[in-house]
Amino acid sequence: MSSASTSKPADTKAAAKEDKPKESRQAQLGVLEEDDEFEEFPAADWDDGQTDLAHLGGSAPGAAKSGGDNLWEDNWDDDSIEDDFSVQLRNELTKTSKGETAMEH
Amino acid sequence: MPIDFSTFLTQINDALNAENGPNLAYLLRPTSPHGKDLVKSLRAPTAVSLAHFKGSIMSPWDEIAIQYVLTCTHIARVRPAEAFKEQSQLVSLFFRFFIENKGWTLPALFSVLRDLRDLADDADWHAKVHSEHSECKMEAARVVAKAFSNCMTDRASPMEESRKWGVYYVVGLAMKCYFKVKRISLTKNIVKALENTSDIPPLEQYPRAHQVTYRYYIGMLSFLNEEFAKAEQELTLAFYNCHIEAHDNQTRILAYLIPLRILRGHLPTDELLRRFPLLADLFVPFIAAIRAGDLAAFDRALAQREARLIDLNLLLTLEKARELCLRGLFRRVWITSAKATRVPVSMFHCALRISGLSVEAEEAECLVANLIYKGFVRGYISHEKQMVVLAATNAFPRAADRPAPFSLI
Repeated sequence: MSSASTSKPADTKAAAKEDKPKESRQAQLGVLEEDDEFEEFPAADWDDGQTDLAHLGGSAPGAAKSGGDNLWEDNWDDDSIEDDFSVQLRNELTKTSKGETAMEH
Repeated sequence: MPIDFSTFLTQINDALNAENGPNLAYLLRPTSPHGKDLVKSLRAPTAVSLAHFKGSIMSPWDEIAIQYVLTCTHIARVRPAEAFKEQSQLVSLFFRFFIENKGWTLPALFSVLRDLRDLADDADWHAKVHSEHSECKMEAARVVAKAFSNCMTDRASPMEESRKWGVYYVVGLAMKCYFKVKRISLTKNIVKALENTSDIPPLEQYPRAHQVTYRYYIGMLSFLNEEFAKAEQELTLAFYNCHIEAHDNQTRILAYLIPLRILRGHLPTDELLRRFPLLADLFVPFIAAIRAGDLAAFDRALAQREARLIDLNLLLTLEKARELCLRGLFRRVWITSAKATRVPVSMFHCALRISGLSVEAEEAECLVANLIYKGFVRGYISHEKQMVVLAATNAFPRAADRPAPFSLI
């Protein structure tokens, strides 16, 4: 897909240096590796029961949770996240808004 | 029991008389057990030594049978380039029979084309190892494209017995060839030819293996051409029609479908990601960052996975998905401001700085403006007062509710 792998044998030193991360990267990619390709199916046909359509109970594929498809979430907003970031944000915002108010007066 | 050449000819003849496509495919496959037997029993067969078998069965099957033995011989001697050449000859002889027959021949067509492509792969690989030039895969792609025309020209058979039932498989195979040699633009002609035909059954009526492979490649092609809406649609159908036991193929589809659906505002659930650890490893940090509006975590994930994302052609897509994370961050500012309808630009600026982005106030204002323009935020900016005025209701619509999510990315 990408032409990133067109290796130039010219600079072997640079190539050797690049080799290592490339190696681990390929290992991480597994079946997504560049030379790996979409496989032939052992059978030509199958029915809904052997696909992910089976879990949809009639809703449209990819409709997301609100449409009855549990594989996708279309409503993830959470109003009550409490973490360090929230605390930090609140402190900073309080400071900032106080500053604003002070300036207005 | 090892079979000899006359038995092989008889078996071919029987398969032809019975119009048994799968059996014919089996007989022509170099990996079938009789392939080795024939090479052994004929002792170094050549085109000359086999010539006297011509005429022993109906043409062109006498010659096809001879080509089969020659292909098997070269495979046994590890001469992939020669094997490819003989198999090409076999396929062109097969075409002569194919264009005068009906759809029952399709299993044999698929099989000889698959073998041709595999042999081309071996030949090119072998040449590469020996620093030689070889373009067998390109040649194989041309032969496969020819098979497409040979399927399409069936005007005589009734539809249920038509060779047209082979078109999607053949086009899928052609795309596989072109993708492999990285000549993706060459798929355009054959895809256009297929899209412009009206006298074939709808894709949904073809075997699922054909549908899924075709949709996967059309989806990939659309993705690479940045036609994201079409890519998402094709890959969604490819995924849902794929056999659940074809786990690797499902992984390949989802590698592109997940980022596309994220852009649309649909995050994959744990239920989905649990089944695909490789993809979970790649995408979970991004998904978690979007959920939390944690821009710093999103940027860390981008930096850590940059190399992998470049290899997969996914870096730009994930960079675009960063806007959903930014939306999350700004939404948290709004929540922290008790969902006020008026929030100073400085607050958004402050949130960006806490996230590790040292930007000017102007840039913060610009980012808010951009999210408003793209429908992530409802409101306007009073530039003089440096104030963001948010809609009283639904100030941050669900990302999935944007009317045309792919048109503004």
